[in-house]
Amino acid sequence: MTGQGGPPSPAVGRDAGRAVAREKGHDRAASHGHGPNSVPAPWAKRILWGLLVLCAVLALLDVPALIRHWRHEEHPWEALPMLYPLWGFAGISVLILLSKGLRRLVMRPEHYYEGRGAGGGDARAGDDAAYDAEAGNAGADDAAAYAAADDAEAGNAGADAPEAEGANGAGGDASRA
Amino acid sequence: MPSSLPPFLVFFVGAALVPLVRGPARKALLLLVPVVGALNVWGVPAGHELPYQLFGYDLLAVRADRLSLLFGYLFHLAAFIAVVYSLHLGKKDHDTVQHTAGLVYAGSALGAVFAGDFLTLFVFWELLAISSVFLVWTRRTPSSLRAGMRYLLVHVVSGVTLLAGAMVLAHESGDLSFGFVGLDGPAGWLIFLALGVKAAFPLAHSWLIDAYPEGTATGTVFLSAFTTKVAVYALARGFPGTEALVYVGAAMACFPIFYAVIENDLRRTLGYSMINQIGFMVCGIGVGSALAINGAVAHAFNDVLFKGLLFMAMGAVLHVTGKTKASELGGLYKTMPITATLCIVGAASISAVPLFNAFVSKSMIMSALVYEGHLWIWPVMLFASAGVVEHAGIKIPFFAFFAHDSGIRAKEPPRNMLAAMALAAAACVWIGVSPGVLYDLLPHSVDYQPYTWGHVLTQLQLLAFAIGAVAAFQLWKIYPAEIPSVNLDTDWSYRRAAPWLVRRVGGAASSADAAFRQAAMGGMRSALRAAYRVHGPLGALARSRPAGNMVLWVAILLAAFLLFHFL
Repeated sequence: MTGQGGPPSPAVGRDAGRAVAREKGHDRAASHGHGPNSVPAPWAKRILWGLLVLCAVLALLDVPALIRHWRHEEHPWEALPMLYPLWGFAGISVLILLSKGLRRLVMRPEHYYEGRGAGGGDARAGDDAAYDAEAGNAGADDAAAYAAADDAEAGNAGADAPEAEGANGAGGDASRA
Repeated sequence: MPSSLPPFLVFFVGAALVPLVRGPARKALLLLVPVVGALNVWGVPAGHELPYQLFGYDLLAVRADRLSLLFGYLFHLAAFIAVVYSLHLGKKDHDTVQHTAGLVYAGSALGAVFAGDFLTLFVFWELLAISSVFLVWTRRTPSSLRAGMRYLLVHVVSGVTLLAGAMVLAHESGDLSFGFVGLDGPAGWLIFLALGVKAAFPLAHSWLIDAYPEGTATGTVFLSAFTTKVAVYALARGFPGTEALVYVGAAMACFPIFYAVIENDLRRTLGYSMINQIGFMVCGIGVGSALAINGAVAHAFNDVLFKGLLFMAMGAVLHVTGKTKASELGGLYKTMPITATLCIVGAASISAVPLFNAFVSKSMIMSALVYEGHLWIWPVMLFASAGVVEHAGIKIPFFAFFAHDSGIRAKEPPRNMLAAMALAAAACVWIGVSPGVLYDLLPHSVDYQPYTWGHVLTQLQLLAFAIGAVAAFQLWKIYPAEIPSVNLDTDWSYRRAAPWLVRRVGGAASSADAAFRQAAMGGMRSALRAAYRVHGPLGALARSRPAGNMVLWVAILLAAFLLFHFL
């Protein structure tokens, strides 16, 4: 995207210019952005292991909690073992999967509203197509950058590429409509 | 103590003085206003009133009780933090506009929470809208100008609805005092709708996610503190125990978290998060028991602190990088470790991690739901709590400061911004560690212990497994990636559908009109042509004939007459 030397979108460009003028210390790393390893792999891994251990300990603590009635069982469901861990994990899983579905429905190119809003007139089909192309390219850039990165955090490439195409497709539909 | 001074007056006088001074004097003035205001309000006892008369109605410019005083303290604290955060603004940021608008806005919020009647409330309700829109417009991008206009329209409509409700109320009861309203009759519904728009009820929420991300880095911090909290206050005053609010609140807590997962603009993500948090408060107000109202109000207090902190962190990122989009950010922790740490404190606070402030307020609402028998809403709100961890706890700090390295090496923001964030973070932790500070100020007496083994354990379980799920989905590469995009929300209806409809209906109407006119013109033209053919200079009726012709015809007619006569 724009961080990697692509053409900045108009609004962002202006703000960025202002910020650069304000903050002299602002500089970019070498033109082609995404360093190979972004979140440093060593402590990312350590954090993930820590999280795993924490989850295990907390899950085990459910046993004394149930036996000693630490929860005071205000809600009838609270008598169920592992209620909170399961609700937390399942809730987030459902949230993420449904959100991906929602994205298919509602996601549009970044400049979808621009030019057509208040007083924009309606002869903007050409411009929209240009925006769509930009959004699509940006998505593809990101996907490529992700693919280059090999650590766990930045590993969304697989999911990213089709969605970027999806964005482009949806954008195309919108502009055709 | 000059306790007769209305709280809003301090801010309005301060705002009037702002354009007159510059430099250090301006800074001193800005810092002094909330401090003087706080000292003024601190001396006001519960039960203090300042009556006046207008149009023959007995009105209350100031009505201080435990509920309004709590919001009064909160708004002074929020104003102080926001002022510190915006001290660095210079001429090129249109600082005079921002500082003046900020103080008028904070003063209007104080005026609204201390208003004892609907007419006074209406005046400050509109002032809130008019003053705050400048904090959006001052960004001076085409999109912020348009978003500000939409924001203003929505809020003016809310104000007019409030006034209509107040008029109906005055007509029915002859009394304008702002107490319990309830949903009986049209006045109650009108006022409910007006408050609902400002509180960002579902379907009326899009002004928030539309305008807040368009505000200036500092302006959005002001915006996040006041408007919606005034609405929460008004709901707590006018509609406690209204069951509909339980369901409205549950919907508010749930639907935005789906949008928050896929939103690319991190300040808009915080906007969705804000609706989600207001959902908890609205739900508590709907439950209506003393514990629930306490929880709702305490959560509003805490929300101003942690949501302000998160908006400040994203504002700092915007200030130094010019960006707030997840797809353009990442890796900033390397050069902005202090901002990153403070952002994580805000994230932990909003996620209700034990020892942070949301933990001591949200749990009151959750317990009240069970005590009052809303057993099916409880799991829904538990799901919404887990959702908070995902979008505000993980997503905001992760995509801004960690994730893939964007290559941006921005410095820490100015010291005043860091100080404001540190202040908010300290308040979050302080309230989390010693909740009694906040509990003592709540409207009802508190007999609630947030720190029990069971509560701490269950909350940690919920949080740890929610975070675990996010991490797992990231590792499995299922987590929705950051894509430069916008997501359609209800604002689509007036940004795209309505203009389209107007164009289509207008187009159809104008072409039908044109066809009708053309047909009418055609008919008239052919009628004229026919008349011309007969009556025109060359028409049959205009021909001149010799007199002999006429004599011949007369003779023929006479002959025919004679013939018939003799037959």
